Amino acid sequence: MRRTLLSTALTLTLPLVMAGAAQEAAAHGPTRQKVTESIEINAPAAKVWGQIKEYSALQSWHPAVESSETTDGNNVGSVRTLHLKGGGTIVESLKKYDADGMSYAYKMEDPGPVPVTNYTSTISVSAKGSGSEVTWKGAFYRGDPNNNPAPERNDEAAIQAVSGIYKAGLGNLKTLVEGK
Amino acid sequence: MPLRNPLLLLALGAVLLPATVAAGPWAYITNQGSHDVSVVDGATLTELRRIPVGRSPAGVAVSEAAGKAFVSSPDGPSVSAIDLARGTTLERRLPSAVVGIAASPDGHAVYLADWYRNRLLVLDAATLDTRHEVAVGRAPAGIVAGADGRRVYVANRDDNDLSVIDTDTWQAMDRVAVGEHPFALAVTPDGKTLLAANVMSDDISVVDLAAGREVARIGVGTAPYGIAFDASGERAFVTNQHASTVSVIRLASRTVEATWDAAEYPEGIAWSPGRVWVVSWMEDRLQVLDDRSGRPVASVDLGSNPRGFGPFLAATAPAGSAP
Repeated sequence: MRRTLLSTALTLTLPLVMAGAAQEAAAHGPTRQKVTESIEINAPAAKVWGQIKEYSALQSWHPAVESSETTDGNNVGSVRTLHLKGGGTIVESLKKYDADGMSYAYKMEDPGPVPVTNYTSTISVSAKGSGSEVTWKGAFYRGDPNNNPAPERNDEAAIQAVSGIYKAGLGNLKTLVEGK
Repeated sequence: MPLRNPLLLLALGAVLLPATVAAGPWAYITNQGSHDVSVVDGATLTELRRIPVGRSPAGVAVSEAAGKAFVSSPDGPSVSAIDLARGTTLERRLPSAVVGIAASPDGHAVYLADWYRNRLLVLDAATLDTRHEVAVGRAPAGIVAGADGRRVYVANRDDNDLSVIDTDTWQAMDRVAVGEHPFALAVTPDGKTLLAANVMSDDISVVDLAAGREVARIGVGTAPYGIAFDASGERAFVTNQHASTVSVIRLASRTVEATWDAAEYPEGIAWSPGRVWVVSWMEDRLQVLDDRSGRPVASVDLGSNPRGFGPFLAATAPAGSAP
């Protein structure tokens, strides 16, 4: 049953992955942008990592994600499909996973409604004082990589969207972990 | 008795006073986020100054023959020339976004890759006026001039090949297939071999320039982005942008002999005696590594989103630097 569900999900998401790859190959603008957001949490790093370590469990701590599934759990190459509250789907593949270093990195194969292209990201937890700090970093190009993009697909829109995703996730993570 | 020889006295002086001969080099690193170029003094490992240039500078090509550091600014779009000795700048607008940039060996011409119009632009290095436009492949990225100046090579990122351009006729005379999404190019000091960094296939293409074809493929880390050689051309150093590492390639055996940790998103890279200089885009800093062990020996803060895409080291002392 589970296998059937997964293969159904794969069949559904594969065209999206391929559409994303084609879009990326067409061109990307010459100016890459980056966003770094971090938050201090009054809990041990191991406890915070415990909350975020499952690549398949973003919906358990990010308020914008309704549900998700992965093709291969926390193994490099695993593709996760995020279903967003209010509609929209994001497809991302896992590029690095370091349980000892409490960090993982992934790449968007299909950005769905997020106005970015060629997006890579790393999230990591480290000890800080008696608590911990979570850092979420992204590198990406704007949604429209051509000259003179529309305002909703330009560099500023891309930075604002990514920063908003990180802040919402980190804020909710802090509330969840400190409230437990 | 032998000390009567004035040349020998000079040579001894140089040995006894190493501080006066060890000055420099100076690095010119493009900061794409702060729209300027950081000038870093290699002797003191400090940032001397920031020189404002066009919008979002990315590519750089230092030419001692021209006495300039040439800079591409894709969001201008424009090209700038910084006079190495005086620090003055000249900027010219261009019709479309440019990233890759190189200078001819004689310092008379500047080459730019027009990303959207798929052309190589050939500019007069003194005036920055465009003299020729040559059609190349799709999304032209890195450029390098052959050592004898008779050929220019352009990486056609979206065509997975190189254009070979004859500098007498300004015609594209050949295409050479390489790996997926070639970006940075570099030619060995002896002028015989070209390396292309293939960002999507995570490898380096080795191109025999006399034969005009790829002769080997060397696997490196994810998203190889910049290439530098030591003076002998025995070793190449490659930044792996997504792996945050530097691969050290032994060219005779075409093998990776070491992989060093680097700061995040390493991009531009250069070599000087004893040192490898690595620009970290994510961390806004220059890392200086020992060229044998890979150990970090210094870190210099730069402007935001530094790239340093191209040969960025200069031997000419800038105005105002310590004698």
